[in-house]
Amino acid sequence: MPRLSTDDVRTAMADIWAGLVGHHPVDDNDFFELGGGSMELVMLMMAIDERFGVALSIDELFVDTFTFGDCVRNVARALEPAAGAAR
Amino acid sequence: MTAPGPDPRVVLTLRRRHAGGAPLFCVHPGSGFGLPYLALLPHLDQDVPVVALQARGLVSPDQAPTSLEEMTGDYLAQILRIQPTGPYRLLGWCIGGRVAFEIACRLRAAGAPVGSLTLLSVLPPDGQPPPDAETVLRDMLRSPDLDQHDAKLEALCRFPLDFPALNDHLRRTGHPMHRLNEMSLMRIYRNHHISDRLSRTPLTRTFDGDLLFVAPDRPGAAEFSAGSWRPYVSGRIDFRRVPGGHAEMMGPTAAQAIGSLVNDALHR
Repeated sequence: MPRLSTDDVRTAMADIWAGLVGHHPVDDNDFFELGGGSMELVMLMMAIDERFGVALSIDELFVDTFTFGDCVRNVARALEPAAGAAR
Repeated sequence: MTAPGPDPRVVLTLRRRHAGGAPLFCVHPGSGFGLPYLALLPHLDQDVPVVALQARGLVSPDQAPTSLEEMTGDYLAQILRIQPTGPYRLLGWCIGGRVAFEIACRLRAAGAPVGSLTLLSVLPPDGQPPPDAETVLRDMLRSPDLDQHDAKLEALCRFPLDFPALNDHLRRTGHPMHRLNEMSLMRIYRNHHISDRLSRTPLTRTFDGDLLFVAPDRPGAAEFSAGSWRPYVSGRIDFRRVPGGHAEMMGPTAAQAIGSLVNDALHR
């Protein structure tokens, strides 16, 4: 898979979030405050696995907060070649 | 070709960062979700990865299991993909406890060591027939803060469902499920129904290891006792009570107490 930039991840992730919570998020938006619940979170983890080919844990996906910005940053980080080698 | 990884429809990894030990596998309660176990994370030792097993029927309703044997076989296969050799650490709340017990017995039967088994607020099946569909729905939607009879809810838990009216009632009683749309609510309800039925499967196995058995301390939880699981466990049973009711086991107070008990059990 060609390497994705953080912007690529952001664009794809915004579509995934919009499909689940009905809004295109900005960085500060919190997944649960936007209306996401347990079901949507399960769908989010699966969509990330499917779209980016990484199976993240909840604490890897949302390190400090449940915000969109954190989510994008952490997926982009997981896609870096060094992170792949560690998995 | 590498071996298949865990199935993301069933496995929700809650903690992996900085955690290098053997994972604690937590089997979902009746709702089918593993997410409530997030509440344990701040209270469990940092080096313990936490992996939740979720009901397959949440994402794939047509693949929901039809027997307890099928359900535990599915989860066991996922566990073995993540951790090929023991010792295994298992925990389950509510019907997840019944499933965790079964997984522990099957691992032992296969000769694998089980390092710890924790059952939270769950009793062996009592031989009663499963409740009807409307009772299952009503029990699932009864407000956790409200112990008394809710006649309005009772009337709304009838099939076919008047979803808008039911949703409106849940909103007014502050039930956490008021945020769910009809599809999600019905999937969770079906998982409750399936789990409730499967958890009544009579016990045929005995666990030959030690058990940490945690019960709620509320009045009405008197049926829990140190002897509850005795006929099915040949090892030591450590029976503890934690503050709260059955539905509050992943609330902040009980989760803290449970986390500390589980830490002790993992280090024993």
